[in-house]
Amino acid sequence: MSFELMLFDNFLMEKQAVSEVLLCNKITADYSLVLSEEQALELVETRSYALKNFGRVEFGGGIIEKVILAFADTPYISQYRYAEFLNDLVEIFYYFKNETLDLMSDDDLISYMKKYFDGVCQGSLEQLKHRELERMAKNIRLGLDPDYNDLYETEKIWEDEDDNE
Amino acid sequence: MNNLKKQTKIDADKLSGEFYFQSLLQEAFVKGELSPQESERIQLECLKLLADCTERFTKGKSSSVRVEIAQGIMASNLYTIGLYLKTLPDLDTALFHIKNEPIEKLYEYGHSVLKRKINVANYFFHLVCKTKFKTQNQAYNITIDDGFKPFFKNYDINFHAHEIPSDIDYQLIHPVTDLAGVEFVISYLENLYYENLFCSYFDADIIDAVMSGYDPSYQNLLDNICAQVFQNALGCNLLNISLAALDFCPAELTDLNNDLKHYDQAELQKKLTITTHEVIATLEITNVSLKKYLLASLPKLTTIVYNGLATNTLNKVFVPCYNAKLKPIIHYNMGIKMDDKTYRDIVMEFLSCRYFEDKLAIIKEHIKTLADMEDLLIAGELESPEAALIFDLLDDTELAVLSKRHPLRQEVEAIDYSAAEIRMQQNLNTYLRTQPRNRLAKILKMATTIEVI
Repeated sequence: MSFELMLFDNFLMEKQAVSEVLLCNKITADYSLVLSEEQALELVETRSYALKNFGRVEFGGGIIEKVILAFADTPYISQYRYAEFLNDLVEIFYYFKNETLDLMSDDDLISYMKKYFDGVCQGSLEQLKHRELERMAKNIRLGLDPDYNDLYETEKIWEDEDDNE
Repeated sequence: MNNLKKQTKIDADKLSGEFYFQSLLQEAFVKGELSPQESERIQLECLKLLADCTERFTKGKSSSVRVEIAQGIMASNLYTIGLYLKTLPDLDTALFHIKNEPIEKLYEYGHSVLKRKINVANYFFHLVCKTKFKTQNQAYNITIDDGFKPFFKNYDINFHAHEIPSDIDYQLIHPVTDLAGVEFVISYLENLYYENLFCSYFDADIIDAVMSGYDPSYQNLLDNICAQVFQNALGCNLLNISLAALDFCPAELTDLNNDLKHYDQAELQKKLTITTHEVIATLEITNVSLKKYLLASLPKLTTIVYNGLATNTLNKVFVPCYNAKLKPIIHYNMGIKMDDKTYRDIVMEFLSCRYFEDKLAIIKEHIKTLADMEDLLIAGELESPEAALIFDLLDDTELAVLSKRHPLRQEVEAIDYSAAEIRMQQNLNTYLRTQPRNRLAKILKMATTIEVI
């Protein structure tokens, strides 16, 4: 009975996940962000695809609701791209879960994603993924502080030297 | 007659020792002892158990894990359940439990069994340490001294129960197969204990002589010691000589060869079985498990003896002990070194020489002992051709002493030596390689019999 042969009742699990995602609409509606049932299903499928793609398995509710609720108040997203944006975020999340060698908890990773997205990236998912989170993952792998930025540190040293002069 | 039991259709021999639970489920399903509904229920419960364990593994901080982590946890869970099922009296009882107990409960029972098994492993490890005999064999020493430390320190019964975190190099007469985790460790340690127990009937120095006879560098081999001791004990018994010495002379081996060469393999096994019982009686072995252990090794041993007879290499089966006295030892005195100041002056002068003739003149004038010559060869920063001309000044014995003291080190060992020493080793090696084959053989043979004092 190998792991691959285990019976996953995918249909039931997905149905439950979709209803949980739709429940989030009650909160996100305050920010004019709502997902249709079709979009919620697509999001759940994206999660399944991302998990498979990045060689991970998930039990229980997963992180979709956490991502939705964390990014609900971001100023950089509107209803127009909301579903697409969430799909990208879910994929990014699982990718960096691997890249950080599972050394970061779900909540921490989501809060970092939110912090950089709203901060230096100013709503750019490209910058978030390819610059900030890439750097953060590298820092985690090297045992450094996730926020450590050698470029910033170098600039700071120069500034300190200028001040001393 | 009322107590007739229903016979299970499952063949116990088809079950895996390592993947007991999985193989039992598979066999039960194939033989119709498990319905598709029951099978599905079991699988879903296994999945639920995996989800709970994964949550414990991530301490609730991550809802997802990498597939290989989940697979590892799943394998650990199934192994733990299998461990409990093995403790049940028969397959019917095991199947009854699988059908009527929640998987989570079976896992809990397995967990308790696992904890007890670790105590059993500890017990056998204690016995192994207690009966450990003195030997130069590194695999044996390292396996017992350090090999099980990772297991007793890091064995994770919650998530990696099926793994064996240990460094086991020493080979047993009966290798442990088809077991995993703590079961493997128990079985290995138990077998090793019986081997130690058998070897404890003989003097450690005698065992060392037997193994040195088997191979002079047996300390670096992964071969089993007990097997050779047992073979020699059987040989001694067959020759009706004392078992204590475990030794044979060539004439005795010839007699033995003549006695046994007419037997076919089946007859030979019978003969060796009788001999084994006689050895057990002579040594007054009372441990029943040890008796079984020795008798179980006879089929393999019979083949070895049979092949030894067929190929006329019985002396490789019943090996004569290594006798150090048979080897002439040359005690070589390196001589007294000159005082440090004089030596430093000579080296300074030697290094400042422009022409090699001047260096040779210094050597001929000041170097009187091999000890000083050795130091100068190391400190002299000599190129290979120059070193060769100096080596030409030395006789075979002196070259043998140097080659014994300065064998060419492998890269791994080279770290222990200075660059100057390595250069000298390389120069000597290069020089020896240029020598005629006869002279080189003579020097190398001499090196094995020289003892530098």
